[in-house]
Amino acid sequence: MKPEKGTISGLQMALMLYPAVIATAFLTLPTITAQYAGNDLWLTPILSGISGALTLFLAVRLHRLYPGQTVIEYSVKIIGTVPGKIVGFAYFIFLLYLTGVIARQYAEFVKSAIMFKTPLLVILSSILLLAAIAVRGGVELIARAATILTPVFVIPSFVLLLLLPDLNVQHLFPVLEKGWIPVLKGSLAPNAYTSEFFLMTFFLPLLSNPEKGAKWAAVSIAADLFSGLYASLLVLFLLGPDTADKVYPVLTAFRYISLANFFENLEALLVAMWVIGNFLKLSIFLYAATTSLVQTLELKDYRMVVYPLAVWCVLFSLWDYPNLPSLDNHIKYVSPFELLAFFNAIPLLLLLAASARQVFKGSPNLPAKGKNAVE
Amino acid sequence: MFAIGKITAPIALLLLLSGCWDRVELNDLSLITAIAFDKPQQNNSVEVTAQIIIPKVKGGGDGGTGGGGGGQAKQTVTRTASGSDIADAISKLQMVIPRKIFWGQCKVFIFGEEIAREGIREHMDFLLRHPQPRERGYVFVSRGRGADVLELFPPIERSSSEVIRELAQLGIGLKVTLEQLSIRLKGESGAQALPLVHILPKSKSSKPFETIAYLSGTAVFKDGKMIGELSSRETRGVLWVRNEIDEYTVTYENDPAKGKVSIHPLHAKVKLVPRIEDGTWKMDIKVRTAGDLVQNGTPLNPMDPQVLKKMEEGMKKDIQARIRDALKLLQRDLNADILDFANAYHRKYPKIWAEAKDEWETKFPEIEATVDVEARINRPGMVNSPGGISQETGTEK
Amino acid sequence: MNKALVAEVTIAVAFIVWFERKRVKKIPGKERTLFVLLLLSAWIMAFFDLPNTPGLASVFDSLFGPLRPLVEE
Repeated sequence: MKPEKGTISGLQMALMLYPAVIATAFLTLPTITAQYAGNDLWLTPILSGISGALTLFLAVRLHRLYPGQTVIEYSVKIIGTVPGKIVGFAYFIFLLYLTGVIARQYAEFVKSAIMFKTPLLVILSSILLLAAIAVRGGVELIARAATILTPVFVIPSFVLLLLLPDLNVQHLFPVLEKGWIPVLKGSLAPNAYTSEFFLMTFFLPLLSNPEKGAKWAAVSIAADLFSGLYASLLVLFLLGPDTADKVYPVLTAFRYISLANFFENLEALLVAMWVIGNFLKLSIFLYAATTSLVQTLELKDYRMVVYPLAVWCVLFSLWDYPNLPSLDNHIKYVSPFELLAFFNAIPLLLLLAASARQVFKGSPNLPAKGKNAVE
Repeated sequence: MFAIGKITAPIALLLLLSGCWDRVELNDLSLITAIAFDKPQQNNSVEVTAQIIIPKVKGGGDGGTGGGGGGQAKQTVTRTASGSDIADAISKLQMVIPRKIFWGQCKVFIFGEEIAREGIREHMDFLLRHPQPRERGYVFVSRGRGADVLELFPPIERSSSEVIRELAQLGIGLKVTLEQLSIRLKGESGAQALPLVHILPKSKSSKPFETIAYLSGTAVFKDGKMIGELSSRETRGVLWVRNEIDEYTVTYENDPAKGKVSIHPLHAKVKLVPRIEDGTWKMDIKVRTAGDLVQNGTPLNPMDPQVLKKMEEGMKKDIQARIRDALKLLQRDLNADILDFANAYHRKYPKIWAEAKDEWETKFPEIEATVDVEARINRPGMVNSPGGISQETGTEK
Repeated sequence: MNKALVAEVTIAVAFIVWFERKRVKKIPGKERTLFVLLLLSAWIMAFFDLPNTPGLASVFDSLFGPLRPLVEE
């Protein structure tokens, strides 16, 4: 059952998924990966392709087995009503919590970089309100917003190329001085961020042509990898050993741009990019959270719950994080596991169970049982 | 009814998203163009002097000022405050400045000589940690107090900080941005270099304080403390090795001694190639440079290829000498690796470096450096034979 | 207790109820209860000192805590 009647195209889905993942990664990953891998940090976005491929495989495969359904819906078919609903509810709470954390990350950056005096609550509420309005308008609204805004989001990042005269390629060397292990450790976070592409499980059912959609999703993932590589290399060539010590290396890069003493102070451009990107990201995550709830409880109309859930996101964004270091600590050491658990591990288990079911019983679905009859 | 809701939401968002808590009007800001850090007279740790642009005065006035004593009205004003650390000093500084201190235009940071000798690490932390100071600002050390440099009123530029910045960008001496300094402080070499600022003695016709500051020489640091300096000539040697030679003229005595020749190098490319042979650490400095003749004090005709060759030889020897002199001073006397040989070895021989890096203090002076210069003179300028001598009397071989 | 948060959530809840008034009347009982439940629970949560209250993040911290040595530099 779809929560709404909207349909979107594969391209629109790609345009939605790209900022949904890269918006925070672009800004927060380079310092984390630099802290692990030092001057080898640029290898980590390449390695995040592992999770990218896995996530794509899982989401598409599962959708092929259960066309037109999201993970919430087919969990029930795979492992039974009660366990399935529990899984669905878990996804709901997790996505709601994630939306809050993302909003908090966004607000902390805006506050520390440009709006020093504005209260955190104001920054959080305003962006979440905006996202809520978008979600309430439906997935087609978000898709159309992404079609316009994602290019606007991407283009300013090319401005970083103006740093060319200030870049020092020597910072790349020596390569792999400390071996592969720090690189592997450093690639955990990028992989976890890439696993967020699993959100396509909410959009594949809405596509008119899901197979083409899968190809578009792959394009999106590739674009994501490339953007991560671009940002990492740029920041490395500019800052070298200083990369790990900056809280927002990309912000430093934007601040450093100076062309002919005229194009300066361009960090405002980064903040604009950031607002747009996070608006899209939050809309998509909020949409996913809403859909999870609606599908778990099998409600008819999702629109009523959007605003109340947005309020809950504000609560989640404040909950448990008294200051920025505690948030950063969590993002660095715990978040990768959370994300991989929900977006890679659980889907993998579901796929294994569904395949096993197919092998033994010939159909991936549970036998019909009253309300849960196969559609 | 819903219409009201639809209108209030966007309006509320417009107000909230842009953060009205942080609104600042342009004329509530005091634009700082330069900041100097000095050792204060009293007991505090640091004295901060800010140079602020006075916004009303634009370009000397339309009617009245005209000729006469060369002056434009003062366009900058300085304010000083001291505190236990920079953040403390800045907050005290704000007390004597009616507008909010704004760092967005501050592109010059000057450390007074005294405070440079004490150590700049702790002050660098403020400049890097605080969100406002720009990483692209240039850092200098001043002979004497930095505050004195800020109190000058240059005749042409708007502020003395603009003078220094323009001079730095010309490439006559070293130019180091805040970020580059930050990288060097973390670097393997343990040594840093900053350009030295002096105050030009004012000409007789100028008003008091109407003079400029200029760059000459380099302040050499080890682990954030100033330990010595290089003269202007030695600084040129350093610039050659660092591949930062830009706007510069090479003048040397032509051999056989018959007069001086000046070349304006237009292109220079320098490569540092570290080598470790049989346990001896060597560094090859390869310089390729080419320039044009701008002054020929010899009676020789530079259009003659053999004469030109001799001149190129002279140029090559001169550049070699400069680099060698600079190296000698850095390796023997100061033991400061501001040329970043350390990183060159690290990149090429990571394993050997890992073992040797704690002994860099002893290793650096022992490095055998070879200077290999290839100098070419491309064009003779606008005249052929020596200017000022007729074709017959002049030209010998 | 963060007064600003309580004030904001109260206003938000009020606004939401006002905004969705007509729709609430139309939808079936189950969804209506959910709507009220979400708003009520959110309002109650606002009274806590959230930043210092252990929440889901702490749950994950303890869950994945033992794995931390794997990811320390």
